[in-house]
Amino acid sequence: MKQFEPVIGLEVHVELLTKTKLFCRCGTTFGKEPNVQVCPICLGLPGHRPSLNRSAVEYAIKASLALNCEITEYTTFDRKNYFYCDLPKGYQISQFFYPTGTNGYVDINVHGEERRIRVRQIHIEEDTGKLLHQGEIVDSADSEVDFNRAGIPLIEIVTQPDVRSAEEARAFLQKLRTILLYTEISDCKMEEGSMRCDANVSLRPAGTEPLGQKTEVKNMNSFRSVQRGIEYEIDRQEALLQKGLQVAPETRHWDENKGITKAMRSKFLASDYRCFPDPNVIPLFIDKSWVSHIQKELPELPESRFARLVGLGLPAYDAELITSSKELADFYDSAYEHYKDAKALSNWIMGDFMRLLKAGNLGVNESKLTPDNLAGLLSLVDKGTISGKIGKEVFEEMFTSGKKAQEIVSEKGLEQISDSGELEKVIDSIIAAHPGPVEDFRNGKTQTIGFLVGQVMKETRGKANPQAVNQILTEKLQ
Amino acid sequence: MLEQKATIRELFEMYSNKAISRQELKESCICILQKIDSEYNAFISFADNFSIEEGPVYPCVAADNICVESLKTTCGSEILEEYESPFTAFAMEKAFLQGFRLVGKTNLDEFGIGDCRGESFYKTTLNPWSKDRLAGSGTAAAIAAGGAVAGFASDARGGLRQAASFCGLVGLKPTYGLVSRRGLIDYASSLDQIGVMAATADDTAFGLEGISGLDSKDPTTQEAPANTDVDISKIRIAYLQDWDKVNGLTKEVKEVFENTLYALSSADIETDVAPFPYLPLTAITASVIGAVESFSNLANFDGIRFGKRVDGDHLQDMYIKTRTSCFGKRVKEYLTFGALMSSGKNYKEYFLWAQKNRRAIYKSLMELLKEYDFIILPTVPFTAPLLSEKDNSTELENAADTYTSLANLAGLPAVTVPAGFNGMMPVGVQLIGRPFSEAALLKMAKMLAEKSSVPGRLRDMQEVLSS
Repeated sequence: MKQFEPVIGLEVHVELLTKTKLFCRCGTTFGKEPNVQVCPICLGLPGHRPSLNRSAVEYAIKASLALNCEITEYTTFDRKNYFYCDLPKGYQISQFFYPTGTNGYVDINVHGEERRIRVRQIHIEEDTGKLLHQGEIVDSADSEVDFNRAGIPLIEIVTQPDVRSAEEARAFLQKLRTILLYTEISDCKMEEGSMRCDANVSLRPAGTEPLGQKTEVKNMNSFRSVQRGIEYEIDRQEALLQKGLQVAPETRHWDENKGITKAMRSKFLASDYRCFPDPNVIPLFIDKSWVSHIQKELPELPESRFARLVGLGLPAYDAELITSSKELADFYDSAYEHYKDAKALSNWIMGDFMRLLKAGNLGVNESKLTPDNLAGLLSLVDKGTISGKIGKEVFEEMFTSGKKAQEIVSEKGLEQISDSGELEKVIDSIIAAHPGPVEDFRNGKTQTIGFLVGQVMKETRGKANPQAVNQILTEKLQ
Repeated sequence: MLEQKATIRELFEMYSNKAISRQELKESCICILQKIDSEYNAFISFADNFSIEEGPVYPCVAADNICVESLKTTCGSEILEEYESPFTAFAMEKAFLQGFRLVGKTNLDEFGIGDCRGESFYKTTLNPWSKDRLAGSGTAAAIAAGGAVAGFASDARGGLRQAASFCGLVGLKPTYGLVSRRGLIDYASSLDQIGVMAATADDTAFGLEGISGLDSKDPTTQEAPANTDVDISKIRIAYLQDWDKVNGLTKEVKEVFENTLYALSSADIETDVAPFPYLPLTAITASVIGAVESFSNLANFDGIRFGKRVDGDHLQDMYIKTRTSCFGKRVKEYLTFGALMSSGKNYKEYFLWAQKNRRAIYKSLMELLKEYDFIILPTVPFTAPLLSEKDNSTELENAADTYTSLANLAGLPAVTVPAGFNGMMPVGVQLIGRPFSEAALLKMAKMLAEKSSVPGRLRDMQEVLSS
């Protein structure tokens, strides 16, 4: 047993996909040239008045419901006061007193062990601007700030300190991302910063209750670096504690290149935020009927979808893979409406479809293949109109052209030949052309029939129905 | 050039009657305004670019913390010396649509913070009734001197009403939410409203009509409900118990107020004393809330995106140098007070204490207004202070807001109306009404003003000035 147990709480910031910012009507597009998505409100110019974007609240409610939270009936938008050059107003507006959601949870599975990570709260806040420089801002005389991001709505998801390892932290984040992608409130791109994760890490002697001194680890910009950053921090703290040293309460910066966390200089005046409700934004009552309307519109979430797919007869592995993305699961469901062999469908989707998507670096909805066209193809194969092998060729063409399977099959004359009269002619000519193998077969080397079937298939360019060929050949050779 | 024997209002009327040309109007205007400014330091900038189309137009002034595009908006502060707002305050846009034309932007305490001294980074405004006294604001001096029909200014703890009282004017602070604050560079968002001052209640009402109304981009605005009028024949007015035990109340102001009460009862209007234990707490309560909000509101003056900047060795140094050098003494004191009142355990002990007082004051006043149509109070405990007392008057520091800040704390409409004199200097009394009862308040104010000799002497004074 390990001497110390890690206790980890996560704070995840997720940028909402609203078309406009939280308190003004500026756009929220990522990657525009600096300071084009700005106005007097998000620049904090004198005399500006914020007016709340209700869809941000709706998105936050949606996320809170998806994470099993209770929704507050009343909320204020509060000022968190501090000076920093990326903060135009000198305060950040945040739901400090009444978060949108509280007391939720996310269930994760790590190495077959079910773990419940409780979500303490989900609150809305404004994003800050972005510094356009390297190095430490407090020491720099000249720096530039891009305010395009300032005022974009975020939700901050705060967990209870329920996470016990770096791996669990990663699993939680991945599960969180999947769920949030289902709700379509965010694109959750860690590399673009639309999902950011800070971790509060502390260690305590295994088997004890009281929490040890924590540090906050920031700047982990991918799932992998979250895991690495936390792992490093756990090891660092463990080494200190084993030497009888103390962990300093500080914010530490994950350095991806060096693979270490470094103590950050703290922001001055940052400890006393003097939060109070913003007198320019009126309190908001969240109507129960609004919440239940949002609840009704919530899509089926990964867990219940997984259970449903398993219920259709899919192996857990297939169901897990298909529900890992909402688009894929939606694709599967639409195809299933027209084609009821659950496993055959998942074979095609997980096999050829995923392979071609990957090869073309495409998203699920970026190929020309539609779910009902896929269902049509599989029905043709099942009916014996085309063989499975031809099916794969047809599939590739459908993927790029968007044509229906039947259309391709007719155009190219790919129908399987099952007509025994037609097949007999071909088979007779093959028997005549290959007296050797025929002789062998009749002498008891029955495996040579495979060669002969192959010749028939070749002659018919794959269109012959293999079962029919087998049957006729066997009859003729006896 | 016209003869200088008309007020700005008369000039605009002559123009509307086509007696003078647009050019003549503008030239004469500027001439009169410059004279008013040179006498009383009333203006920070003049606006001669107003457009004049068909229909009647009315001259107005606005305090220089109200943003108007293409003009400077300095807030009376060095930090905004060259600042031009990219947008116009919604209230002013509305007023322009109603025919108001801005002739100038008026002097004010820096950011409105300064206990009604009328002292900015640029100048200190003098009182047209007596040049050795303070006017309280450039807006009040400009209106008193006949510079416009109506003046628009902010009132957070009573500044607008105090200045109106110092200058013998009617001054109205509307119900919180009646007038949009978008484009007002306010310091205390939860207390502040843009209000109107004018020589008469009718002009005040006209000005109010110009600026009030719902603004979809200021969520604190509200649509005024219908049926807020009161039956003038059955009016009941309350005056507050211990109104006369207020710090700094002068004998003369007390006398004018008592005379007003007497005049009301002789007019068969019922007046009762009502219990109200909070008068000793109002000024400090408003001061704490205003200070904490201004500490936060003025945090955007960081030298980064607008306004003056004083370079420093690093970011924090730049903040400190900019704010130290470009904010005036009183603003810095008040912001420091706000920082202190909200810091650490003071947050609970002072800021939350003030919020608790505020709720109690609101509840108590609303309770009284169920029974009474209006509450009557003096406006300021004293008349316009001498210029020489500007920096050493403890009354000015501590007592000026006692009567006025009640209405700000409760979000209620209040009007000051000239009611008498202390020697040469006018004295105002104040009426507080129910939410959105501005029409009734102004009707009542008109009645009171008619009983007072101040408006007549104001007209005489303006005539002397314009001759």
